[in-house]
This record gives sequence, C-alpha cells and structure tokens, in this order.
Amino acid sequence: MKINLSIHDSDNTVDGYFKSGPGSPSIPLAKRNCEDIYKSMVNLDRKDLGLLPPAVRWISDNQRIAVFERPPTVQFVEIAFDKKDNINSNTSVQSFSLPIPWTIYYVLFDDYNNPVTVRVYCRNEPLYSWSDRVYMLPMLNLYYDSTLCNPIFENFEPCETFADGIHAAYNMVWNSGWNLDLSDTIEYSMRIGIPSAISSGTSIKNHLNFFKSWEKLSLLNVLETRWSDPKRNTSGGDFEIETTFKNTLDAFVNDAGQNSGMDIREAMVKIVNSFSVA
Amino acid sequence: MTIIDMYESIATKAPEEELVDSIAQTVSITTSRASFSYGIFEVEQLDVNLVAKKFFSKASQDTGILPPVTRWISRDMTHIMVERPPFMVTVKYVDIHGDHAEESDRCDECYSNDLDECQCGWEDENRQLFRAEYTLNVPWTLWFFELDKDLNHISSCQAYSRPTMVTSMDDMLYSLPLPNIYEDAKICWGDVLYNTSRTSYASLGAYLLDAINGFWTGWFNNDLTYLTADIMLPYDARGRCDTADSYLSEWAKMSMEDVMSENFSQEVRTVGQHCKSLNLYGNVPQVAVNKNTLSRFFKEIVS
Repeated sequence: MKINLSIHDSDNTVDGYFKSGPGSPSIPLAKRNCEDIYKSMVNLDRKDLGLLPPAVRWISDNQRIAVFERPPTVQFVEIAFDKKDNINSNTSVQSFSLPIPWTIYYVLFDDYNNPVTVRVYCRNEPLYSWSDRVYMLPMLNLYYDSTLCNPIFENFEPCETFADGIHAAYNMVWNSGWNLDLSDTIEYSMRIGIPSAISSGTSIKNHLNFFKSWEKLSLLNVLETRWSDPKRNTSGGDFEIETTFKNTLDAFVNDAGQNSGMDIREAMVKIVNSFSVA
Repeated sequence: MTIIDMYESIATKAPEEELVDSIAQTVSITTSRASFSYGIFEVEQLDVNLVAKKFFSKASQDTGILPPVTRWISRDMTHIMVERPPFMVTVKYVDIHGDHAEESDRCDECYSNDLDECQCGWEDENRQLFRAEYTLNVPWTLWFFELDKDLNHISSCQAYSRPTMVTSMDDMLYSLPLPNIYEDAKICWGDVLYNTSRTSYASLGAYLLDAINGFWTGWFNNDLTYLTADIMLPYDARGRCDTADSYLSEWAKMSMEDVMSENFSQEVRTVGQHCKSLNLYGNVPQVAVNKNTLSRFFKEIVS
C-alpha cells in the first residue's frame, strides 16, 4: 500500500492518490480541506468520564486504562478449600478477616466502561511517584503476573459510567467468590517465604495455615510487612521486572495492546478513509 | 550541507508563510517507508511505526499520577477537579490596608496607612501591621485546576466549598468565602506558584496538593475580599463583620457543624454545570487548527 499526499498551502487543501499494492492502479484522493483531514486523522473525541470515585490515580489518554488505589482495609473472605469443580456439601468453607495493605488496581476497559483485564498489586503506603515500588499481593484468583482470573457472573450488568467500571473491577477482585482454582501468588509466596509473617514456618505450607497466619496480623502489622516483588509472566518462571509503578504500568499498557494506538497499515487505512468522509 | 541545513538556510531568508506557499509539500507513506518533502528536498525517511504513532497518538497526554482525590477530569485532560475533606486549619492574616492602623502607623509623607496607596517607599517593616492567626473549621472543598497543555504548570484554579462529599454531578457548588479568592472563585495565588512546575515534584498529584497547601499556609490579607462579605456568615455573626479580620474572627467561632451547613455559603451552580463549561472550553484540540495546520503537523513529525 502506498499513499502520496500533496499539501497546497495556497488554498489550505490536500489531495493525492493511493495504491493498494504493486501493480494496482493509482486511485486519486479527492481534494479536501487540510483542517478537515487533520481533525479526522487525529483523535479529538475523548468522552467526559463523569464523576470519578476517589483514588483514581492515572487514566490513559485514550481513557481505556485506569489505575485506582484503595486504602488499607480488613476484607472478609469466605473460601471454599477445594477446586471449583470438586466443591460439594462436604467441602470445608472457612471465613477470614484479612488485613489488607494499600492495593492498586490496573484496569483495561472496553469501549463501554466494562473492565476487561484487572491486575492487582499492593503497597504499604499510597502511590506518590512513578518510581514507587509495587508488590505482589498473595491472594487467590491472581495469576503469577498479578492478573485477575476474570470471574464468570451469572448476571452481567453493563457499566453505565466510568465510575461503575471502577466499582465493577473492584468487585471482580473481592466479591466474586473464593476457591482453590487459582492460587499462583499464594504458592509463590509460600515457596519463597515472603511475607515472612504469613508464609514462613514449617506449618505454613498449606492454604488454610496461610490464611490463618494472615488473619492474626493487625492492619498495622501488614503495613510493616515486606511483600514480594511481582512477577512478569503468567507461567511462574522466575523472571522478574523492575517493580516500579512506572514499569509495571508500562508492562500492563503494553500487554493490553494500548501502547502505540495502531500499526502503520491501520494508520494508512485511516488516512485514506479520512478523505472519503464527507 | 545536509538537506535539513539547506531547508533551514532557505527558511532563514524568507518568512515561513512565503516559504510554505512557494514550495510544494508532499507526503509519501508506504508500509515500509515514509517521507515528507519540501519541493525537491526530501527531508528524510521516517520510521513508519513512528509515523503511525504520531498520526494517531493516543497516549500523548499523560497526566502522570493524579491526586488520590481526583473526582473529575476534562476531556482534554487539562482541567482536574480535586476534592478535599473537611479539616481544621490555622490561617495567617495581615492587614495591608490599614483597617487597624493607628496614627503612628501612617506614612510620614503621604499620611496613608495603605500599603498599596503609599508610594513613598516607606518600608513595610516600619509599619506596625496588624497580624493575626485564626483557626478555622473548613468544610469539604473542591479545587478545579486548569493546567497548561503540557500539564506542567497550573494556569488557574477555582475553589468551592460543599457541605458533603460530591456524590452526583447534580450536587451544588458553594462559594469558598475566603480572602484571596475572586468573585468567580479563581484563586489569587500571590507568589505561591512562583517558579513551580510539575517537573519539580514527584507527580502531578504532589504538585496540585502542594498548591492547595500553599493556599492555606500563605498569608491572607484584605486586598481581595470579594467573597468575605459578612452575608456569607450564618447566624448571629451577620452584620458584625466590617473588616476581613473580623470576618475571619467570626468564622473561627463556628463549629464544624456550622461550616458544614448548607447555609454556610452561597450556591453557585451544580458540579455538572461547572464541569460542562470547562469541557466546552477544554475541548479545543490540543493543536489549534488553523491554516497550515496539516503541514505543520507533518513538520512536527519530521522534526
């Protein structure tokens, strides 16, 4: 594909031609006003996100990715100690009140404010700068790279506003049910013994003891806990990235395919199309 | 001499507008190569992915880390609404217009007790300016920051108050009746923001919150008192405040419950109405569209 444009500043217009491939005929592009072409090529159509919930800490320029943060809290969780497919009336179900440190959520939304991908990290204090480090939250339903395994809700309620999307993402993490289907980050935590207050000790090496130990901590305790660095990949390899907020966010944006907008072919199609828009 | 040098040498000999008119400009893009030419001069080949990114950049306007209490952001991301919870603050006040001046505080030459009126060069420190501190209960406050297009500097800020946290765009904004605030709620910063920019802070959030702190820790005076008419004060304090300091003194007697009352200050407009007005203003494209915009756009890509 080839595009040739000629800009005529004398009358502020642009025209040209494009060829869809070698040997293809040159198709002329109608003369258009430069301003119109510019407006149609450059993204100027951000929407009003409406009232934001507190603690939204970053929004991408295309409004598809947001980072929000929640302060320390005690979360009540009820865990079925088996894989989902094996759960029956005999399955042990235990409840815990877990002191949770500051948590940070990276969320990719679809065009309609619904969360698509959520990644969760933790910290002992709120975010302050790009170079702040973020840590792995050893919690169920998270892959090694801290990405949430999206729950399957029986009733899907679309998010009307951006704020709804933020709440939905939070609910996906904390209110979608707990079982032992996915415990990558907990097993990693137990393997390396971090945080030591929860994961170390000979009797810890099972999930029940892990949560019992965690529950014994106070909120103050968890804010003094050393958490483990997050992992970059989902397979459990030992490769780790620099764990600053900036780097993990860049990785998330990259993984979400939102870093460069579009490739050159898409860009060229958009250029050509912009000439055909009345 | 490089192609760019040649172009620059021509550009210095003729005004840019003439040059643009006299030399045809062409853009050639294929999937493997892109170039931008001025007449016969092909400036350079460009990375096609870079071209795509610059053409349709969706990540050019990076706000950086927002304050944790950011409640709204305009479409163009240059207006940010920050909400602060109720708190108690001790403010400093200085009487620069001589509301409390004694005979001995007047200028020997012009007999003025007003720092602004006196042109005789009488040093400020020679005057016995009335100074005081007042501890105020402050309700919820909303700060609408306007940033420049690079999001590096605060262009202006409007401050409002509210009896409760904002839960809806239909919630009402109330004036924040304090000195140093104009009638349209814009803050007179004095030298609080002098020589500051986002780049000297860890994040945009830190910059904005520091500006808010600067407002509270700076000196209040009786230079700008549009909003401190005593009608703003409820209850029996009304009618007793003839100076800014007496107004602050009355405010200092008010409980947190008093200042959280809807009667505390005047309704202005809803949050949504205000945000809408900022969006209308703020929805101007980042690069103003005018004659030669497209050619300038390509020039930016190659520069």
